Amino acid sequence: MKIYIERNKENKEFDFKGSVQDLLDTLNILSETVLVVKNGTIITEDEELINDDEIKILSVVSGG
Amino acid sequence: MKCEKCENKAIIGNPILCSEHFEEYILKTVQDTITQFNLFTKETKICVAVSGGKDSLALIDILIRLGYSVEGLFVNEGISNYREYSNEDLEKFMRKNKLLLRTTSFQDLVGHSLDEIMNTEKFHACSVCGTLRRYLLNKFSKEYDVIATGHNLDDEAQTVLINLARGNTDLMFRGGPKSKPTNQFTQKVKPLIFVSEKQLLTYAIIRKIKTGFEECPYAQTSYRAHLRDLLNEEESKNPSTKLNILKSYLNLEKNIIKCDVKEKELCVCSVCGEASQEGICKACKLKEEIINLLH
Repeated sequence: MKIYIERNKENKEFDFKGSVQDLLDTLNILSETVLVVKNGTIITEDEELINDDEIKILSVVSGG
Repeated sequence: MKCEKCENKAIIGNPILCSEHFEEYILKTVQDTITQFNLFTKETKICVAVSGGKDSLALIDILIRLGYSVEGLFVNEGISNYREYSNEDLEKFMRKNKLLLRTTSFQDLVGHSLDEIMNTEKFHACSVCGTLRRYLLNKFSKEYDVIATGHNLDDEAQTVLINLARGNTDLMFRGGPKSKPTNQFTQKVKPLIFVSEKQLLTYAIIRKIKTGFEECPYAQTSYRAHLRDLLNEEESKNPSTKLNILKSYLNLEKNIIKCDVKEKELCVCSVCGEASQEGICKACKLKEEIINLLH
């Protein structure tokens, strides 16, 4: 799975199958601090992901 | 997960709504806040304090959709690799919506950018920024009835905790959806205080509001950032923690605290002529310190 993490401006690629929440737990990211976008669409934490999905993890925190 | 109101797929989990119903929810939440706290009417001359970030641009978008007339006031602090990007997005956004945008800056006020001031290593960024921003927003918003800011639920819950943790009981009473009206200061209103930062980013993306979504480079060192992280951890485990903190504060303010608060009397700053709690206002004192250090 290809993942872009906006806050760190970081691209990751690894095998993954599970829910968005599982992915966030794996990456040690709090769900409250991010929005997850799959193939261009915002998705909720219960959505199941497959290895072919392209995921963007957008940072909620901005400003000062 | 399906939307609570229709058969479409939900895009957000708190509340569980699809894109269309989420937009409706945000518009209703903001209108309800404006009505409940009597923030302003369709006839009010509203100045929105804009930074170019998602919160202030979403605020303008929401207010326009609700039928309010707004203009923008932008304070450029002078933060490299941060402010110039949001400034560009802001100008495009305002042009597209045919809205007047007034601009001022720390450079105009004290002759230096925030970056230059911070290079002296003598100041705390958030303290300098807060003092100078408040001063400029008040100075340039005098022709308006209210100045609306993009403070959201996260900001407000953090502020309640900061003031509690620091024992700032005087400052606590300045929180909430609107400041007290005075002759000297333009009244500040916060129509987004019941909308979380996560909801605002969701709204900005749905509405294709382009902004950098960057965090201020100076914010990470602040006590606010520390409390923000704690609150986000708590909210992830116990949803509605932030909302409960804000509601508790508003209940306390309404029922217990308000009657004991004594407002400090204001006079006129002998240097700039603006309203001040002392003979020389905080901004003028700070300006003198900065000029002495940097010249």
